[in-house]
Amino acid sequence: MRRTTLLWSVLSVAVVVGLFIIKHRVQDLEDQLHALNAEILADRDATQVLEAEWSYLNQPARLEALSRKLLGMKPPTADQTVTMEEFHLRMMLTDKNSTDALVLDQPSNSRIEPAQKSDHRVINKKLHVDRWAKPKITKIKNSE
Amino acid sequence: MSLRQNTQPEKILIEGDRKTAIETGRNRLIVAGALFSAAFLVIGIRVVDVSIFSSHLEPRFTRSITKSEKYSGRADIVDRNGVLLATSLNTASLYANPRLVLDPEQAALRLSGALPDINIKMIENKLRGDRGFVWLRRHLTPRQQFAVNRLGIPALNFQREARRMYPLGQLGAHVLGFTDIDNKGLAGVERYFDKELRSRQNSLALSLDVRVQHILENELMAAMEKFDAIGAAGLVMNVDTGEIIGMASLPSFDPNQSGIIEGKLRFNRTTQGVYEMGSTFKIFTTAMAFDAGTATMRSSYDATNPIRIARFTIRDFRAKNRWLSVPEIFLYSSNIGSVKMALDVGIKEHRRFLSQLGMLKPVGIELLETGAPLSPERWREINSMTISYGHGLAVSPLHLVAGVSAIVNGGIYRSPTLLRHELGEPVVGKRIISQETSKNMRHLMRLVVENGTGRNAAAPGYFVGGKTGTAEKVSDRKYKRKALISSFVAAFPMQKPKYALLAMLDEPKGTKETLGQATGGWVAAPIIGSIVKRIAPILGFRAYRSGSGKQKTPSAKVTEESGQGQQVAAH
Repeated sequence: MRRTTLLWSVLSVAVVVGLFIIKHRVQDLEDQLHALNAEILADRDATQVLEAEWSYLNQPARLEALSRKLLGMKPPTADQTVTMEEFHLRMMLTDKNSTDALVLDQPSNSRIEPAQKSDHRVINKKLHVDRWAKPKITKIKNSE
Repeated sequence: MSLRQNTQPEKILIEGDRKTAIETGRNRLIVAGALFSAAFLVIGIRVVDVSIFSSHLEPRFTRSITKSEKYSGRADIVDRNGVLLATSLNTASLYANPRLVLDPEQAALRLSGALPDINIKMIENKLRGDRGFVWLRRHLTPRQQFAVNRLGIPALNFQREARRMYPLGQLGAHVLGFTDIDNKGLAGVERYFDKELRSRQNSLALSLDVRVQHILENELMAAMEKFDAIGAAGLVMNVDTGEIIGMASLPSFDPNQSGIIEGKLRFNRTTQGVYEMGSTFKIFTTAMAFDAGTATMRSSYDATNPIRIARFTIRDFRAKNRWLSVPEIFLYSSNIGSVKMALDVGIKEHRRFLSQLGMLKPVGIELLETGAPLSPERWREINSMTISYGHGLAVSPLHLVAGVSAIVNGGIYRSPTLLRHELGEPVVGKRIISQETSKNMRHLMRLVVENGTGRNAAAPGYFVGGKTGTAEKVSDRKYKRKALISSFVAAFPMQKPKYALLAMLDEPKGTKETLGQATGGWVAAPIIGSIVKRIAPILGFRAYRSGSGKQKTPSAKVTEESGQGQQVAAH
């Protein structure tokens, strides 16, 4: 009889202490969560501001002015663009001259597919394109 | 009695009053016990319910912020590549509780130390009032907030408020619009999507491309200054999806300063302004004649003499005074020829055709600032005649570009849109003209740039085609000779157009360079040329080089996908 009483009282004290500790832990964790939440909010605000600033600093007008002034850049002309195929061709030529062994000798095997490949339509229709480049006009002389 | 005691000696029998008393006691005990256990059961169940099946309605004491949770009042607006156009930033706003202010005069004076640009008298009056709440200043900078805090006036307090910011400034101002101080959309997309932006979680992607938009505004601005024009408008539209890639109306405004924008500047010339467009309408007249079968590329019309009708005389700007073929009529922009082509088709058909192209009702786009076209109430012969060369019907520049898109894209009209078109999304449209007509029209438009009035619009290698337009402005019911609306509407690349463009100047003045001319071919066409040269590489086009003999591979790379790529502009 006394033993059971003792057992029960020890148990209940243990439960009470355990509950107390857990309660405290929860409180602690909640405080932590609060702090983290506040931090997240602050960080989000900061991200928003930074994103806005990024966009502000990247205003096309500003970039244009800066690259004109500091880098001497100009709008590219048609001659300044090359296709992948031409690029590979050029790479091959330079590679042959150089002693470097790092060679892209077969452009067709390269991982980057030349843009032309997918577009046989245009390749086969050079004439067709030329017609749009230099259209002709038939004139009617002063007659019916 | 004694007998019973003998037979069952152990059993205690209680009888009589005592027995009933005990019975009652037991019954009561059972009832009370049952009640208590019921109560405990209920509490037990409730405890389980509360602790295990916690309902989402009950606020938990602490919870973590979910990823999607909104942190500012209004959704962001981004361009097609995700560049931020409009965002909401949290700022502090200063308010006061006047009832708690002890000395309004002193408080106002001290406040002016922290915020030098406030009106002391006004603040003092605000603080004297018998109210519980007054705004003193909205949207303080962090530095100002610190300064005010340091004053330590107890009645002052801060409220966190989201403020709408447009980091790109004036760029695309007319498309974006702006909001008032309470973040209510007042113009542009902000107004059209006001409700949507309030409730939306993720950002709204527009069809604009800021790089194209910048080039458009930049070139228009340069031309506007050069020709001393009072305004300018420009559009770039994807002819296959109806997306507006660029939309510019000058002069413009800064949406960040929403409080001080003049009404005049808010006017969106591309959608609100309706103008008689002039010769650019000959595109529609010619296309209509082709499609109706009354004219072909080989037909010709007599443009020898001016046409006299009622009290009007219709003549050509640079009369050739001879028979002209249809391509020539288009090329030299002959009014006489166009009138005859329109009359051949018939006035009813003419009206029906233009109405199908959406020229007779406000254009459908995600803006509330749209103007209704001015069309004749009764469509008579004279109306049809003048409209054939773009007078007597006033439409917005967007009408024109949407119409031209339909002509060049193979003949399908698609309503312009300001929202980004997602890949694979179907685009609705209705057929206006046949493929064949569209092809012929493209040939004609290409001719204009190669050999005709639009030579200044050429961008070598990109196959620009288009049509010039010059109209005199109406004022006091008279056409003003000197006040012109000069425009150029174009598309490129002409073998399979992807983009339609427009540049328009309002009242340009000729310069020495243009020999005093201020017509579309002189002032607006060069804008298109320089715009195309700059935007084509960005939009994924490669110039075709016909001159370079060494090149074995033809390099006109115009793939279907090239314009679709969502390259990130500034990132």
